[in-house]
Amino acid sequence: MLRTLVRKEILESLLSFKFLVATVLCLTLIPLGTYVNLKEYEQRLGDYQEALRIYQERSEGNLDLGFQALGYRPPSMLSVFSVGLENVLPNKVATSKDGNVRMSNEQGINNPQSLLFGKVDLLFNVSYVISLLALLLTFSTISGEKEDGTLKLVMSNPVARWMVLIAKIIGNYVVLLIPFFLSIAVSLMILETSGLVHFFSSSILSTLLVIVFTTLLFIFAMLNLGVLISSLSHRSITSIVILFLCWTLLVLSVPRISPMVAEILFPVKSQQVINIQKSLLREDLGKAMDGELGDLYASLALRNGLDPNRIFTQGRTDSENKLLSDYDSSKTVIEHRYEQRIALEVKKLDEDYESARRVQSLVAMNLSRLSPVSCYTYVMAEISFTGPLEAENFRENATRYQDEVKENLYDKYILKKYISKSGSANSISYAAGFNPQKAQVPNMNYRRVGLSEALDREWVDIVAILLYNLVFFLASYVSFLKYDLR
Amino acid sequence: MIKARDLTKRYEDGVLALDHLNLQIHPGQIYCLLGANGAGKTTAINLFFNFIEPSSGRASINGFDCTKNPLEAKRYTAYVSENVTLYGNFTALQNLEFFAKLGGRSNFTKDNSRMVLREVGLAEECFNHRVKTFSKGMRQKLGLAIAISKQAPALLLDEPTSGLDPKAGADFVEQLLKLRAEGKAILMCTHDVFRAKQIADLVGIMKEGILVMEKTKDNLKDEDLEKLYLKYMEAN
Repeated sequence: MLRTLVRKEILESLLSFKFLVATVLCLTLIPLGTYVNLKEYEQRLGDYQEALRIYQERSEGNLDLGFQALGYRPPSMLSVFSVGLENVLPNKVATSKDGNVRMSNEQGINNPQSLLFGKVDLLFNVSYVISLLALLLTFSTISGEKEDGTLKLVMSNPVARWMVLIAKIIGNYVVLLIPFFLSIAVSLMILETSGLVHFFSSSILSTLLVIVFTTLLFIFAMLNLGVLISSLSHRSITSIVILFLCWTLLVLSVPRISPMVAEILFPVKSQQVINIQKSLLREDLGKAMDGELGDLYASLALRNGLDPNRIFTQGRTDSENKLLSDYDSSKTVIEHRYEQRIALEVKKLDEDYESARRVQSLVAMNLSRLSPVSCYTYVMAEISFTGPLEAENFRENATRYQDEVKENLYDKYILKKYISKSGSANSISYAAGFNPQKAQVPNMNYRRVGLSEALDREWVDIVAILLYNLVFFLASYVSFLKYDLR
Repeated sequence: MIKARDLTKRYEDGVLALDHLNLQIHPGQIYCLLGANGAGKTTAINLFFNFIEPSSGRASINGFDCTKNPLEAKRYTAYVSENVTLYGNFTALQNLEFFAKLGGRSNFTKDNSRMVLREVGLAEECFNHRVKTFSKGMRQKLGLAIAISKQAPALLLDEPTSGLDPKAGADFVEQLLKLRAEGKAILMCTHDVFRAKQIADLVGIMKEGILVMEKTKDNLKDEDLEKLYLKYMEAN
């Protein structure tokens, strides 16, 4: 009986105009989006390789004290499916001797229209187009049949309501998956023939399977929602009004409004303000340290019977040499104290900022999870390494690279600073065994987050999509059990 | 076969649609239920198919309670509505095959379909035409074919000849007489007094949910059913 009902649903949908529209849209938009994103990825990859090559060429044998080691983030291959934050995530890190890590995005705005209107990737196609198609395919599956009178004829037979409902869900799901899988197959062929992305390699295949699984789950949720909408009304026109209301709310409104609400409820200063605060802090404490060092130099000079306003960077007499030696041994205590204080206060600023940002982000995320579209977006972006997790990962890579460069390069330069009341002077020396002419700049080995790590974070959203499926199905089941067939 | 005992339906808004309906239709009988719009005829059919639940009383088909055991009761009942719409993008054969299988005829073949469609008088060249191109008469024939294909002993028809041209109406009635001859119990709700007199073994007149008159064919032999109907309709 169920088989008969499912076959009828499939045949009815296959013969409908809606199926034709769904097929044309899927077969046009998904492969086209993949192709365009592939070309963009190719461009980003080329830019990354070129930037890296130029930097490596220029940094050879050019390691004076002012040298700055740079790291570049390779573009994510999976951005062909979900561009996400790829174009706005920082792609360059500039390290420094003072421990300041500067992350920046140097991709620029090459195509403002594209940024203005957004990208047509798989994420967009599924969240916007296929979700709408799922609703359009099912919004009249019950109310339309009720209106036509066929539902009454069906129910005049010995068939349980739950069976009719399940047949409608399965039938329409199968029908919607036909254009979806066709367009995915075409997209994969485009990617494979490009020679740039090989999705059938074991490392990528598992991610691809998760993408397909999550997408199927999301489409199923939207389909269940469509059936629920249909079971809530007795006229197709009412169903279509509810459909557009739900679609606007879940696809357009909730994901966009949630971060705005979080911003209003939990305002956070911008990174720019924090950077200025950190610079001012370093500057103020640097001045205070210089003052103390000046006092130290003056008191040591007076103790040795020397002029406190003169700096003896190259000792001539014994008392001058003694002054410099005493100064070198005493100033490290002051420098160390100030370094610790600066590090502590910068850390506090960073932690306060991170904590406030995390709260805001958490509120925005949880609010946006009121829509299955947001949950799907989070999963897709994170497993494609183009989501917020990738931003954190870049920060970790940048910090690790900074530490590595500091240990292997910057700390090899020993800068001595002599400060008197009337001025200052510097002297540079190198750590034992270090030769700046032969030194190698370490490359940033960019470590991607693994799929399992991304899933560790994203299982919540996958479970949320599952729950949406369950809620929509149960609601449509209850609604259809009470449905007035008259 | 078809039985209603004190069958009553009062809707949530307080409207009493059916008030203690009692009727019994035996195999080989046609019962015509006459009444104005809103008299409760369709409500009675809705109760037999458990599309709605009764407020009190009992409807049964072949001994199966339509509320307590609806699936079993539906196994023995076929239905033809006033406007048979069916699935417009399906052909007549596809529609018939689907509903026959739904009615329990799991081994219903294309040949069976053709046979039934010929039986109800649908032109052969229309078998593979999409139903959305059919006239009302053709759709009613297909609706009857669906009911026949179910091979149910009871038939519930809700104004099946309404809007049909005289020829199509006469063809439809001819089919009903054949079904009666096969021993089917038929309940037909209708406005058509002429057809009721022509084919009914029992005639009931409903007014405001109440069965105000029930007479056998023999009792009606010497009476003008139309005048009788109007008399009941005008009475307060």
